[in-house]
Parts: sequence; structure tokens; C-alpha cells
Amino acid sequence: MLFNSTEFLLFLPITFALYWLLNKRLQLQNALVLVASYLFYGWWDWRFLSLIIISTLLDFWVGQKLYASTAPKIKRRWMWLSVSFNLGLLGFFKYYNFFIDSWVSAFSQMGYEMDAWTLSIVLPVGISFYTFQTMSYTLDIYKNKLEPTRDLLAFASFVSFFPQLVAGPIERASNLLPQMLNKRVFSYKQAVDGARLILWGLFKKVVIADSLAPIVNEIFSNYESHSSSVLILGAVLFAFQIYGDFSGYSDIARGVAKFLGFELMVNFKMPYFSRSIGEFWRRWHISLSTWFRDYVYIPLGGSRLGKAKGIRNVFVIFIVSGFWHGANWTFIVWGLIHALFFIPSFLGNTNRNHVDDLILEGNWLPSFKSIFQVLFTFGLVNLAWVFFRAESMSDAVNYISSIADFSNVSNSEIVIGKKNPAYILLLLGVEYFIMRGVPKILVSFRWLFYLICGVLIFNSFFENQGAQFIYFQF
Amino acid sequence: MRKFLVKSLVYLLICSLVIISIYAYGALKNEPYVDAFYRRFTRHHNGSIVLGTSRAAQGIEPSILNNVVGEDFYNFSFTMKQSSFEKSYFEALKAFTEWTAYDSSRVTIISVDPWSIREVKSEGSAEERVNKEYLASYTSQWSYFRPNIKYLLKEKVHLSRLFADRDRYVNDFGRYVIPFDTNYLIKNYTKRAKEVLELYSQRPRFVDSEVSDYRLNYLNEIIDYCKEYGKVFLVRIPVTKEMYALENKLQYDFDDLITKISEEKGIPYINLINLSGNYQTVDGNHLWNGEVPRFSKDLASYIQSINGKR
Repeated sequence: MLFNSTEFLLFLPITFALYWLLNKRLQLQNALVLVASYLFYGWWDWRFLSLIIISTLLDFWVGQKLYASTAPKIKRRWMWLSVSFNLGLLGFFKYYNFFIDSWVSAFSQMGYEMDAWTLSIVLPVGISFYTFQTMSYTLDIYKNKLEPTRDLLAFASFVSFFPQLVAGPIERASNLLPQMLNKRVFSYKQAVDGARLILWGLFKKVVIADSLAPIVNEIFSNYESHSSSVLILGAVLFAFQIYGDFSGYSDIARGVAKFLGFELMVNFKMPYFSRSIGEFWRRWHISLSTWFRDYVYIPLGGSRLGKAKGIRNVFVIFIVSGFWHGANWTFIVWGLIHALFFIPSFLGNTNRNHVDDLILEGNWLPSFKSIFQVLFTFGLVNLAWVFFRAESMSDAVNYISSIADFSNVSNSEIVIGKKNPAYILLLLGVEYFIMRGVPKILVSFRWLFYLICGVLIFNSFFENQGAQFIYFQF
Repeated sequence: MRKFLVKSLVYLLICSLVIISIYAYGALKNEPYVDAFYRRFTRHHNGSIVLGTSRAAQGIEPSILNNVVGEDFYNFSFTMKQSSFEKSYFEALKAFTEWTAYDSSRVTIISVDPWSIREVKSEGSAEERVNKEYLASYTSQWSYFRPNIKYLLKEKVHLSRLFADRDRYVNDFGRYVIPFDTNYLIKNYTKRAKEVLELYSQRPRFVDSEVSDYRLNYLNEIIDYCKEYGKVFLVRIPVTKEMYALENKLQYDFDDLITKISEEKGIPYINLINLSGNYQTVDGNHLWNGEVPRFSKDLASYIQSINGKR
């Protein structure tokens, strides 16, 4: 079920009403969350619910066994059982054909011809998200950061929690599971915050991302026939499309969770205002980057083992992060490029600059230095996005070569219109005020703003026919 | 909780009202330009009528018929997809018209062609298709009002479309006007006519179709209904010689079939297909806008002469 579908328009109020009718009956509320989550997921393909159920049961059981074991060797075995099973699921459904194809292609380049034995495997929606979420549970128990729960219902609801099941934020057991175990109380403020997030998330998805999608698709599909400036525009518009799409989903997920009394982590913090690649990664898909930081980078030694190993670890997490997005070399290279962009600041020990502060913090106008840094970082991020968006490595390389070829004259017409630039400016302005706080004078106009958003969402929903979210494919 | 629910409901209500108001304003202001069909769903009609598919929708100008025949004509034709003879077109016609008694001055022109009485074999039986027919949603009296918000929402007419600058429009008499000028014709005609001919020769209604008892039945039903309230004329609109040849290939005995129906029903069949090539088309199939007045005038003269004989 999509957030921007008419089914969800009915599903959400019914779930909300039933959920709060069961107020103060925690077990029944959790049972409702579980049923609603399975319905939400099963709407797409009920057969793949079995994967979530098996993953849930195995990690619930492993969690008990891990906690009960005292010998480190035994504990490690249990931890590896959970990790192998979840990565095995992911590997089979997401990467099997990629490995077979790459293997065959590598051998054929060496002169050996092999028969490829690929399967037509359907990628279960959201598999990368829920496997990582459930792994965080066993890994935290293994590291003695968390005690296992004996409440299977709460655990199953945690694994399959519908607002963030298929496209995140990837929640940690230490944050979401205790909320499943404790009584939820309806809070007016939380519900209003949730409604605002849903409205703004829908705006970003339906109005911005879905309006930009046809233009971006046209430019990337026929890049050979476009001029350098159009190709640059295509990359920039894709940057806003993917941000609107993915951060929009995260906002809706957080808003829906708030409706039910849950708090999910913030997944995006104005990433395109970052002044370095390090800052960008502290602001983009935060739930994934912190997951890799906590469960891959730090266990590998992080930056504590000297620069050489630190560099190795940086490459590992960026490449793994790229590979997480999909079984295609384009994603791996996207991760690799980010690692290369990140290394200079890592070596110069400036990668931790701007950890908490925002551009314009305490000032009305940014400095020239900040503006340059933001534009430069945005340019680097855009360059990498070309690999992320392209269908193949050759397409990505050709796209970038065509940008560099200024003799290339466009023989096609791209109509951006007036509304798309206006929407992007609105997006940047609103996001900025969300992070910094809205000035009092604007607060009084908030209902007018909500009304405009509502009308534009309705209109764009008609215009763009409820397109799917990009991150569903991951 | 109550405060939250009340505020949410008020917000949704105000949003709905604003959206409806914008739609109503846009639909009233831009009525002729909304799309090729909208205007026909904004009114009922009591006078004479033109029925058929896109050839009639673009090619028969009611205002010229009005001048010659002297009746209040309205063009209620759609396209092959919407108004080939079928149940929902018949029901929509009944909902659209406000005819209450026979009126000898009321005229119905039914444009016929081989395409509109055939059905694609692979699309299943008529019973299976009937609820999916385009006009199935417009068979009630309440589907015709102004501004028709129901239509706009059902057809997902978004605001950019509602307020867009367009040159195509439905005129006050229901005809769909595509104002291509002579420069357009000189530049595009040959290529376009060739493309359209090829397109039609690849259509399922050409390669995988048969004469439909279901459609013939509804052609008869429509004739009977219109005859009950006035005079009925069957008309075959001319196309290009190439398109005519294709239609002959599709159904060589089409004219015999329609002649038989016209004789059974006691109504005239004005077969102008032999004039194919005499009128300029825009794509080989539809009359060019600049040629529509001449054709409509000629058609009106034929009707007048038959009326005179009678």
C-alpha cells in the first residue's frame, strides 16, 4: 500500500480510530498494529509476509538465546546465526542474480565462457529496511546494549511497524521496542506535529518529486540528445526529486507514527545545505548512515586504528552503503565516489566540522565562504547522483562525458515551467524554517500555508497519478 | 482527541470547499477548453442532435445546420472509444436529451462508419465490457450539470489542465474545434495522413474484429428512440480515398448493411462516402476545420431536399 494512494486514505483513519478506541489496552493495541502492518505489507504481495514472519520469529528466539548465553563463543554463534539469516535473505532476493551475472561476465572477460544460471526473483518491497531493523535488535543484545523482550507481539509489531516498514527510517530496537512495550497516551501536540509532517511529506512527494519525475526521466532516458546545460539541469532536478521522494516518505512515516503515539528518528536534516560531504552524510538518510557507523564502521575500528585503517573503513562503509541501495555497479560506484569525496576531509581532520550547527546559524545572511562551500558540496553530490540515477555504468559515464562536451547542441525541448522552480524554492525555504524555527509573523499565516499545501497536493495527485516511491526498490 | 479531530475535520472541509470553488471557477471560466468532452456534460438538450464518433464530433457544425435546416442542433458525438453504438452511449443520450413528445421539426443525424459497429474479438463479450464503457458513468440525469465538478474529479482534470491555454475547444453547439490553419496542413498533412492510415490498419478493430450484434442492436435502439421524438437521418461522412479503401477492406458490405437498416426503419441513409477526396481532411479521417462549414452546408442541403420530398 502506498502512502499516496486512496487505499491508504481509508486505511489510516480506520487504523487511527480503532487504535485509540483500544486506549489503555496495550496488548490489543500492539495486536492491531501488527494486523494493520501485515495488511499494509500484504496489500502489495501477501506471500512475502512469510519472510517478515520468519525473520521476526528467528530473531526473537536468537535474542533470548543470546542473552541466556554467557560464553562469548556461543554468543557469537547466535549473533552470526541472526546476521547470516538476515543477510542471506537479502543476498538471495536482492543480490543473487547480480553476483551470478558479475561472476559470468568476469570469467567471460578472461576468455572462459560460462552458462549463467539466473532466476527470475521478485525483490520483496522493503527487505533492506526490515532486515537491518531486526538485525539491530540481535546486534544490540550481543553488545549488551539491550535486553531481549519476552513479548513476541511487541517484538513482531516492532519489526513490521507499518509506517516505516518499507522505506524507513530504519529504527533501532533500543528506540522503538521500548515504545512498543510501554503504554501510549494520545497527545494533542504529538498528533498535530504528526499531521504537519504528513502534510509536508505529501507535499514533498506528490507535488515536488512526482512533478519533477517526468522531466528527469526524459533527460536521463535521452541524454544523448540533450545539451550540457540540460544534462546539468537533469542532475540538479534529480537531486530534488530524490530528496522530495525519500524525505517525503520519511516525514509521512514519522507523522503516521506520531498519530499512534510513537516517535521515530529524524531521517533528513536539510542535507543540501551541507558545507562538506561529511556534513551531508550527517544530514542524509541518517538512519542508514548511523546504522552503518554503529554496526560496521565502529566494529571495524573506525578511525581509532590509524589513518590507513581509517581510510579502509571509510571505503568499506561507503561501498557497502552504495551496495545496500541495489544490485548494480552504479550504486557501488556512487558509494565509492562519496568515499573519495570524503577522504580529504578525513585526512585533514575536518570531517567533524559543523556537527551541530546549521548554515546561517545566528545570522540572516550566509558568508561567501559558506555559500561557496554549500554550492561546491551540492555540485559533488550531484555528480554522484548521476551514477545513482543512471541505468548502467556506461550510461552514467556517457552522461557525464556529454556534460563535459560543450559542443553538444540540444535538439529536443525540455519544458520545466514556472511551477517547478517555485516548488523547489518553497521546499528550501520551508525546510530551512522547519530547522531554524518559524518566525512569529509567519506562524500567524500557517493555516493559509496548510491550505495551499492541501490544494497543491490534491491537484498534483490528479496530475501525477500516485507514483511509487523511489526507495521502495531498495 | 476531540480538539484534534475537530480541527482536522474543519481543515479537510475547508480544503475541500476551496478545491471545489477553484474547480468551479476554472470550469466556468474555461468551459470550452477543459477537454474534448466536458462541455457536453454541462447541460441537457431538447432540440435536434448529431450523434456519432470523432468524425461527426469534429466534422458536423450544428450552427450551420441550424441556419439551413432551421433547428436547434447540438453535437453529442464523442470518439470511437466512447460512442461506438453501445449501451452506455444510448443511456447517456437518454439522460442528455429532454425530449418528451414527438416533434416533426426535431432532427437526429446519426453518423455511421464500419468502425463503430464492430467489436474486437479479444476484448471479451459485450456483457463483460458494458460496465467498463466510458459513458457508463454518465447515464443518469444528474450527470449533466454546470459546473460539472463530478466530471472534473472523475476524469482527474487537474488544475494545470483546467487553466491551460489551449487552442482546441468545444464550441457553443458541441462541436470539437481543432483550429489547424492552412500552414499546418501544408506542413503536416501528407505525413499525418499516412501515419493515421497505418495506425488504423494496425488497430485491433481492423486486425481482430467482427461485426457486432451488440452494437447493431444499440444502433437500432438509438434509431428507435430518436424516431419516437423526431426525424432520423443516417449519414456516412466522406474521408480520403485511401481511408475509404481501407474501410472497404474492413467491411465491403457496410453500405448494404446500413441501407438495409434504413429501409427497415423507414429512415433516409445519406451516404456521402463517394465524395471522399472532395473535402480536405486534417489526417485522412477527420475533416479539416476549414472545410467543416462547406461540408455541413452540403449535408444540410441534402437533409433539406429529403425533407422537401417528404
